[in-house]
Amino acid sequence: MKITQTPRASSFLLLVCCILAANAWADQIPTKEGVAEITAPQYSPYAGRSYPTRVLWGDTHLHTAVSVDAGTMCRVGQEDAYRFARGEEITTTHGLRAKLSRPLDFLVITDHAEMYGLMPQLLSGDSEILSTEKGRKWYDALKSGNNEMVFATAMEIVASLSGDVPPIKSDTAVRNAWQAYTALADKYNEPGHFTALIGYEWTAIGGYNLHRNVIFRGDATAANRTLPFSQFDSKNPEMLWKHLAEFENTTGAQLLAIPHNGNLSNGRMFTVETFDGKPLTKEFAAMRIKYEPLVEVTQIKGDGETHPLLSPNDEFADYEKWDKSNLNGTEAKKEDMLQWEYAREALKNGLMLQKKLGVNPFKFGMVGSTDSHTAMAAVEEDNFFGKHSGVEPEPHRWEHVVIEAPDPKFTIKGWQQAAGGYAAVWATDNTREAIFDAMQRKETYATTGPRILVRFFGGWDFTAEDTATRLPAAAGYSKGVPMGGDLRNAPAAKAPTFLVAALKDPYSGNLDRIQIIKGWLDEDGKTQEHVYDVVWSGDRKPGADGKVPPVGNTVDVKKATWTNTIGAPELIGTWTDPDFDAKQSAFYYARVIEIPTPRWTAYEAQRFGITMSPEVPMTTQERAYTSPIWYTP
Amino acid sequence: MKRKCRASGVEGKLDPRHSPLMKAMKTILLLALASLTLPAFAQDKPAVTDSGQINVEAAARAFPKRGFSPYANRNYPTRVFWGDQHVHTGWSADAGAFGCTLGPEEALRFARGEQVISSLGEPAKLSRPLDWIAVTDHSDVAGVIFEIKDGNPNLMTDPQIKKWHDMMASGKGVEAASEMIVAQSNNRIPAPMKDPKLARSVWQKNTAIMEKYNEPGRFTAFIGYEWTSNAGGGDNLHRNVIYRDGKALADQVVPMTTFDSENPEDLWKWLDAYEKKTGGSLLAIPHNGNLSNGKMFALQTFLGSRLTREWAETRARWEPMYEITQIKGDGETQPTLSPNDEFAGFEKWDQANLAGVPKKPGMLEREYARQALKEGLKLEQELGANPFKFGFVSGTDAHTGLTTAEEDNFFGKHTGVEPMPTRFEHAVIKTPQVNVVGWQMSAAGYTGVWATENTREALWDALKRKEAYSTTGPRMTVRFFGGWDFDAEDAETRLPADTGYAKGVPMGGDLHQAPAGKSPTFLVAASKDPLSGNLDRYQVIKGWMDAKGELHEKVYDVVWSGDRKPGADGKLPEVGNTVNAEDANWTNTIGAPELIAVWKDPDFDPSLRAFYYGRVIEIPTPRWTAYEAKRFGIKMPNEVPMTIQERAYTSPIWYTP
Repeated sequence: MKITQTPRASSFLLLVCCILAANAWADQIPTKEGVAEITAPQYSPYAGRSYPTRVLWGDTHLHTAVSVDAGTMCRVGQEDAYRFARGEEITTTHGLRAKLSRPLDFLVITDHAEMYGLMPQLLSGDSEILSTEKGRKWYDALKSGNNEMVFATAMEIVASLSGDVPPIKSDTAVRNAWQAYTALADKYNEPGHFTALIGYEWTAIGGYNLHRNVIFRGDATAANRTLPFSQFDSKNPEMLWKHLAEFENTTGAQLLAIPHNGNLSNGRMFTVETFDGKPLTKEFAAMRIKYEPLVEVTQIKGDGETHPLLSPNDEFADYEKWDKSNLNGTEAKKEDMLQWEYAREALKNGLMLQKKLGVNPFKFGMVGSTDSHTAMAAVEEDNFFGKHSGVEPEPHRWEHVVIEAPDPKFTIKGWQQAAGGYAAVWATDNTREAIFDAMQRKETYATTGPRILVRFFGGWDFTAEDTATRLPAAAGYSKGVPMGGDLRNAPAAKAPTFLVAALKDPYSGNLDRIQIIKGWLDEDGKTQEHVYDVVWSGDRKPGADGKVPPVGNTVDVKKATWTNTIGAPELIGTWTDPDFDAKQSAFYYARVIEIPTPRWTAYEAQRFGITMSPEVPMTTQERAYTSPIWYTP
Repeated sequence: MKRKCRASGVEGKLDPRHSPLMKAMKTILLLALASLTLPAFAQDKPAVTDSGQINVEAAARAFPKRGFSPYANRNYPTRVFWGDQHVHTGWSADAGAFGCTLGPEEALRFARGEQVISSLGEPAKLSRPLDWIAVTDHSDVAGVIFEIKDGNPNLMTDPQIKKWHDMMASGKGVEAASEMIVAQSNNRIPAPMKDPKLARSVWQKNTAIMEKYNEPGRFTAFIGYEWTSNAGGGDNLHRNVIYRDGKALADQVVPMTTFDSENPEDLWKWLDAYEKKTGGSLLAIPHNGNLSNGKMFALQTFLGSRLTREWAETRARWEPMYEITQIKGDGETQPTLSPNDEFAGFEKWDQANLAGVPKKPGMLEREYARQALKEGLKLEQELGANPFKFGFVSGTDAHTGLTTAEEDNFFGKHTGVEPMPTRFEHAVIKTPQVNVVGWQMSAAGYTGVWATENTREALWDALKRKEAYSTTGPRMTVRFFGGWDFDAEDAETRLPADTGYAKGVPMGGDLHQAPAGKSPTFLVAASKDPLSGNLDRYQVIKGWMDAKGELHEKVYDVVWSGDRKPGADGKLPEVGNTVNAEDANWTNTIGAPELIAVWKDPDFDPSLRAFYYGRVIEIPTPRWTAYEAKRFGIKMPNEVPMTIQERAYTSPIWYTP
């Protein structure tokens, strides 16, 4: 006998059992009619829905002048960052007026934990800072009026971030800056309207990007009971998790951490060894997945879904890649590092580790975010304010240096910046609690900037009829699990079915296609992947290679415009895994691809009337990545 | 040189006599002009002001050219705010009589997106919140039914009222309501119910609720009411009065009722008196000319006199907007008035007036918006003022407290026709000659307002300048600009408003005196409602008066989806139909998600008065009756339409020689 179909049905059954058993003492016995009344289908399709019905858009990764590195170039502080994110117009460091096309729903300001708040304190001559030897020296140098000296000092300050000991040790200064921030977050946090989640970035280890954004569920009262955990405390992620665990245990607070830019970690982000080079253990895996339910898969410093060398059959894999070296360009990338850097490969390795350890440390969902160091979550292609204030809009920023490497071939130029991404969260409410909870259950997805609406449900019984609806979530939640969820123990002779639906961003391009990416562990214990085209615009037919031909291109690069005369405004489909083996563990996630639209470089060339070198891409196919759904035998 | 001409051109239009804003603008312009023309002699004769010498570079920084961020420095409206300016609650005597138990507070909570329980016990919620609402309960005995039901002690001293209260309390509310209606029509309403003090206390209770829910920047709760003149016999001359003001001003005057007068001219006098007394601002929105039996846009006054210039000016002053579509039918035009318009036969209630008195020949001509706009041109020529120079809004006119205009979520005209399997055949208007039944209700409409922010002031100002449009429910985004210099390149943009406002006037605006050899050009753009159907086409409707004083109209297809070619009759073929009526579903595989184009009037004569407005048509989608049939598993007769092509009507732009 099949037990239950959904968690809701099972709890309802339990309730009924209770009531039957409770007759003896209950004050009020339900009547047949009464029960029928509360369970009858409702007329209004929008009433009584307890599942998330609205996507909330935000950035989980934004730096302001409070971050020491940003602070050397950026003068825009945390308050303006909130104002900008919620849709107000602000003035940038370079004096430009800036505004988003549409407000965001939430923001996590994640200034670097390392010497939190130092730059603004230094520049304003904070007495805590000036009372230290180093602080005094830097202050005098920065106020010397000597440009060479100011630059050298800024370089020295930034370099000291990756040292082993903080150059200025003042818990009081850090506490002052941290508590000023948490108070500001509480001030801008407006339940139901705009959420300011509290967070910071733990920035280990130097050029080998193991960075994590730590996010608090609670308010300043909770966050003020700690100070940001910095790489001076430890460069080992395990110590970060330990710190988070201790904080949770002593305070009852809840936190999570989001790693990012594995692509710049030179083989370290998703390695199958510990930080100290030992084999992973079950405890390690459990800690990692407890605190790291999400990975930031796309941002200005490149897209981290997968890499052409890892996914040679995926024609969309080569997208906004930063793959020549580590973060600071001090070490060249070797091909065998890639497998420990990209999300898809990590998800696959996770299946392997699950088998080996009994726990999957890489069972993560996806978000996108900016990592902008300008205090502006501005990653719209036509409104892109760059990685840091050194590359704010101006005619030559495309050829300016973003990251200078000792070896010029690893130096990153302005045009290589990706104008991406945002985090989409299916939360029941625009509050810290609801957003945090959705992140924890991975009901999130990443986009490279556009606000594409994406639903992704997995179950055993979706049929083509479930797509004949304007409200896919109704069938989605009742017959399956949403993105981030789990399928277990396939019913006999059944293969998993998926309901996928996407609506274009009204401001952006039409949709080319929805794909489902499957990764699995084959009978030999080897990881495999396959990209399936599930639903696409127009009447294209897959070619002999099984691939749907390209959608076309309407971009007028010179005018930086396009028409939505190709592609589809919405796509919906169900898909059954044609290659399913109930004994093999697997994951599935959806990728939604837009038609080509102008890349930010095209807008830039048109606006400033400049010509960029031929290597600079002028079109982009923006995309969304949903969190996976896992199948476990 | 060019700069100077332009500045003086603007200055020519300013009339500083009335408006302090205009005065301020003039000063600013003069100041700008001064700094622009100064450099030539600035060296020898510096311009010294109170704050020192004017520095040209510094002044230039204060007026920067367009910056990098395309979304910064935009002072024009960049967002459409969606709302309903016409909702009744149980406080309206007729709604209450039909069993509506929801009051203004529930109406507001529902409009801002919360779930409420309908009068019949159904949970109800909108697919998306609205941005604003005007609760417009009838001013005649407003709220009194609720006061009786709640046992207001000032009323309970009257035995008749007490009896009605007791009936309501014992489940005989309908009988009580019927008795009240009989009492009212026999002029036997107990005196305490008509006590001005009661009306004042109800009104102040209403404005207090509006004040509580009005959240500037988030949600606007307009203060408003409906003045419900039936001209003595069901000829619908109703107007919604919408306040720009808050409680402090609104409380100073109790709303006008039809006990005071049924003559719209008296309403205008009342509006004027209010403004004079309080310094506040009001406007009135007429609706349902289709049920006025020829009276809404009559070419004579209420009392039958000739129209005068003063009358025309007064009407245009107070009534800048007309509610063109709502549950009780669409009022744009009618097939016999516009025989060449294949989209004219849309959701028509054209048999009778509100009381079921059948129409007679000659009435239709005085009932529909398009015809009235045309007559307005003629009246302007004759009187020197156009009384029918109005823009378009819509509303639901729901008497359920629930502003539902969504086809898949339609709670009906009043509580008697809230969702239930048989409501499609319930009588809505029934007389020996006329029978309007449930399925004829139209699940419509909403108003999109192009305002600079979501506040009473900004929304009201946009309504006053007619920068708003009407839809039959869906929230498509529609832009409509008129000017002399739009060219095809202006359509190659994602931000049409940039050139729209720079080179022309928005919907509701005016074009005057065509430059030699030029015809008016229009930049039109629409993007679909993400939750509704794709777009079939964007049309421009032109009305004009020829040299002989005859009135004409023409519908132009301007931009459409796919590669359809107009046929021999000049008309575009139909877009197709993907609706599966049985499943109440469709696919957006035909039509376009967005349409944009520049159109030039090919038949322009600069000596003739004209108006132009945009009409955006969606592809066919299921009508509310299809959802209903599917949900309740019922079969409706063949005459019941199961599909609909939803639409938007923009406010017109007028050309005056």
